[in-house]
Amino acid sequence: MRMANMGLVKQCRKICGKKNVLHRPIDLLLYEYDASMEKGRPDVIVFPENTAQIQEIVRMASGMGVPVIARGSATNLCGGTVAFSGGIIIEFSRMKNILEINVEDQLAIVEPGVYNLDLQNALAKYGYTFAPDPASQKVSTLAGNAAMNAGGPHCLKYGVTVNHVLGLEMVLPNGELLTIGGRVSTAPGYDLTGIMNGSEGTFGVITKLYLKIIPIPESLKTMLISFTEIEHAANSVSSIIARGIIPATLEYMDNLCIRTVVKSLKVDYPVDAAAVLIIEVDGPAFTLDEQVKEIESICKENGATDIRLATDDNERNTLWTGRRGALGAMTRLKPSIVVFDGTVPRNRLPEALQRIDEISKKFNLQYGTLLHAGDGNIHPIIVYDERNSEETNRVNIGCQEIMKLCVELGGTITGEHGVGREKIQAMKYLFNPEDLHAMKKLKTVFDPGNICNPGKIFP
Amino acid sequence: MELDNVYDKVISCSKCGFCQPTCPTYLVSGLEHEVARGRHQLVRSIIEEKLPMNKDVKNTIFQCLMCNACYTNCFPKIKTDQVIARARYEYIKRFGQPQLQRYIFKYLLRHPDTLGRFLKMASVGKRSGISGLVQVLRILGWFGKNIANAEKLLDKIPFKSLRERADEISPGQKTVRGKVAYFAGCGINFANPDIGLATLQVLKQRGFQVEILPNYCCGLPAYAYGDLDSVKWFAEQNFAILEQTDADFIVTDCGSCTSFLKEYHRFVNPPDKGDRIERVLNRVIDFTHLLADTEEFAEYKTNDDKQKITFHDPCHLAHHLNEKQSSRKVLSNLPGLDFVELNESDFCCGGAGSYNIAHYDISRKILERKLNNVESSGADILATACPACIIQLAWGVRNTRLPVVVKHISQVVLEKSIQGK
Repeated sequence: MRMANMGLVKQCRKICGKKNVLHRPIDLLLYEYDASMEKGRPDVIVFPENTAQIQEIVRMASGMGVPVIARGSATNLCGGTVAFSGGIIIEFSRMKNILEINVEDQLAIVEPGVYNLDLQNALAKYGYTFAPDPASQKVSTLAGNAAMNAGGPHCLKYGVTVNHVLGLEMVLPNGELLTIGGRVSTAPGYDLTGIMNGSEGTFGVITKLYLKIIPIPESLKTMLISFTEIEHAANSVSSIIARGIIPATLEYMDNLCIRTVVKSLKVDYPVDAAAVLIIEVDGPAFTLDEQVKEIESICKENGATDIRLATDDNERNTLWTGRRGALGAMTRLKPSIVVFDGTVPRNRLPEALQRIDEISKKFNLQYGTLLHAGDGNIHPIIVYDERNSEETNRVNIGCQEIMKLCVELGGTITGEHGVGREKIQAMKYLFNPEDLHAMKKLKTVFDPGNICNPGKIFP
Repeated sequence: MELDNVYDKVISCSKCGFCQPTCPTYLVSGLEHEVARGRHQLVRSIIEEKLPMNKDVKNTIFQCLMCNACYTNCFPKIKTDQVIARARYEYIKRFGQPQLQRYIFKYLLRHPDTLGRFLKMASVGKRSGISGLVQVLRILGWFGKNIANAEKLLDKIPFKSLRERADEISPGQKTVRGKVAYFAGCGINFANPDIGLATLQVLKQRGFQVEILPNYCCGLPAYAYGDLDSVKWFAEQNFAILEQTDADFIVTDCGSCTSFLKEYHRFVNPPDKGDRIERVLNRVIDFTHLLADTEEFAEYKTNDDKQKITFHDPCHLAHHLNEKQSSRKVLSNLPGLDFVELNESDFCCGGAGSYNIAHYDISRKILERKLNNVESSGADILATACPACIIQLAWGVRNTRLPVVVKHISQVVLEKSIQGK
């Protein structure tokens, strides 16, 4: 075992140079986790500086039958970058360059390790933006966003990451370089770019991304709307969409989240409200007043008790501070946290919220709920102490129950966080054996030796 | 293991990774070992006995700058410096404290008169004892890397400390606006007495009655090297001294001292603790903060020969005390100056006490990033509010020949003094 390990280390050093290879016990320990509760120890960690090195590493790994796991900032919440059966972790902290920003073609070309927010900041100088804005955007990498097909508040109007990736360059398990899509969005044949998004690193290693960029909307209006009943808030969400209005964001926070952010962030949210919606509309300035009025009247019809409209950037930021800080504030209630990520059809939201509450009572879980309500994406945040195994067990069972519920209501087990290791059993709730078989067959076409991030997605 | 009392802190790290883009050591290394998330997991593994406390863990524990930039982004608000200080304490308990550190923290800094005599000897160029002194100064970091590289620069050590020069301050205004007890940090008293003089002069001009406290080192250097027993000694001695004064404000012009004095509640334990500690610590205020709060700012006519000035936020002000407004308020209201913002102004300069000497390579890369930002700011003057930052930044500016002057904010205020304009 030790011998094989050192042989692997030697090979990696030959390819990436000694300083770019880590293998001591302490190194392996520090690369055994991501932002989920999953853990798994790799055999070696490499820090390639270019695509050619990645090709050689992957080719070598294939030859030896050793797993390769691409890892960006490891902010995923599902164990997606955990080396569950050992292997080589490929780290991208040495590949962080924005290669091109092209406003004429509305395109940015980046290396895998660029932070989402770093691209946003670079684009802002041109008056452009990259629409996917996961909550982790400060630190998550763009290749990670593509691999997990990340979402974010703006996905309601603009779509998830796959809708904004024009093309990819990837290293396949045989070491060859595949370039799919590219500078233009239309190409004949199979939509391989689409397949690669959300593939969680199971087909190959992304080495370059061609991303669609869009102009920053001319104008914004942001509202905070309070409700005394959860159901009223949930009904308002479906009514707004049904009326043909697609806000840029449509976010929901429940009472525990509200009270927690008020306490720790000093924001002025209505602490008595059962729930609030934070709705933002964007577009040409002249179109917004009309939309705001309509949203207001829909929410009032559904029982809204208070409506605040931010009048300037300062007020707008204050409204968002509470929403953006909600997850963080929740982490201060108890040491450990699980952010559940299911999706249900919008019109089933009231029922979903009701039944999640029942499940939580049954298993005695402390939780608050955030929703990307517009697309039915629910994030109950369960806080607990992982040192208490009995409590941890209740949390795990509760999560399984919630996932079953989402499927039962016609939804899915994950809206944007991915399956990773954490939700592989739940894939059975969603797909029948034939569905899973079809997907697995596709996997074997690209990765017959099963070396790319094995043990993920499929039960 | 005593590390257990940081267990609650590290266990609440959700491993979200938000510390990455703020962490200077991560940004220059790209390693999980060099970011708060990794450091927390490492300490947690040691506590849970999944990893032995051996020499492999040394770099991860000792290469943290303790700047707490991670805290700004941290959801569960973990003070990484506290985790690290405790881990260092356990490390030196296991592997022993280097003899020189023991000498400095357990003897020299506890006998400031002896230290003063040593420095005087060095200053007049007596060769005897200089080599030892060089080592001492390296640990304390008061004179930057020059000391380590070239003994000849020792003649730059001030002959007289601030305390010995206190009579140079000219009398202030008659109207007394309050009493200030000045806590003379070692970096000011021994290495940069000119800064201290400027601070005292400005305070007097503004009508404050000033006394200089007979204080010891604040204890932060010992904290940074994990000598928590010495920290307790310094905190207790100083607390007794601070309790003696009836001044309205206890003022320092070293951001690190200011923030560390405010942490004394962790280290002193008098009977009826709460009230007594609060009475003292509530009066501790940074010079910049006091000035921003009490100055009567006037309108100035623009003149054409304005100098561009920018401000580097010392970590202990920006991240430990969340204090960034005061410096800007003061600097943008001084005549003859045009305040420009510094990109990444609260990104550590890599000085971090004596970090620049203990971890030269990392420190140099961090400094490089800082200086690039200084250059793009186009400033003529780079002001800051911590003597350790000044030593590091001045060293960097000399080496790169950047056309910028590094100054303490109190020196800038004195020069552009708005009094008697």
